[in-house]
Amino acid sequence: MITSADIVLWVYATVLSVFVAFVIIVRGQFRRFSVLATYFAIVAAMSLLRLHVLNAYGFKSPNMSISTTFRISCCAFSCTLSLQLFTGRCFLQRGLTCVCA
Amino acid sequence: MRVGSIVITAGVGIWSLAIVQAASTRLISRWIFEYSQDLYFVSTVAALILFGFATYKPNVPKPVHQLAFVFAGYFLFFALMYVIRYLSPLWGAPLAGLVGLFGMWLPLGVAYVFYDPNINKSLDDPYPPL
Repeated sequence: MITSADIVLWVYATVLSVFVAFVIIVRGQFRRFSVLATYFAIVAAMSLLRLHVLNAYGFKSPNMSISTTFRISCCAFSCTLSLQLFTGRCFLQRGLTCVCA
Repeated sequence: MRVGSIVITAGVGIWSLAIVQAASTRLISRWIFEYSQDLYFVSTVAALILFGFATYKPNVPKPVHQLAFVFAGYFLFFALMYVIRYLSPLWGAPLAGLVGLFGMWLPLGVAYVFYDPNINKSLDDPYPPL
């Protein structure tokens, strides 16, 4: 069961992800850290999608309970973690280029 | 580095597929889940290596060092939580709230790094944008 605190945390994390992507763009660092900014934008979009599914189908409904939750979670998990690895790779490349120079 | 990353990612995918091949039903779903988990631990190792380089090498720009710390802390914490939950399922419920809270470590840390008004000055480092 999702509590009010979980919903608040969820919304806060979503807003924070949008804010981070916004800050990266505003600071003029999007070209350097485009993957990182894209990652946070996708995290926010996935979070909103999950919130929509929760509102549309309910947490206990058959749509949410088994297949939808599992598939959306898997897709979100896969996309975010793949991007995390990609972000880490780009970041690793930049860091190693920097420290080896 | 780029080719190596692609090779590692593909290797982890093949490794995950080999693990879940025993499952007769919902192979794709199980593979995605397994692949995500394996990628996560590979990312943890990469983040820790990066943090080690950023810590012990001189002339590392401050934002790079800070971001390395944020990444390493984030990945390491969730890896530790996963291990604790796996070894002791009784800790699953108490740690769930902590995991939710610590999930904001990454966006908060990255926001802190990029909110620095001097980030454009401190990023005049030798590494060019990709």
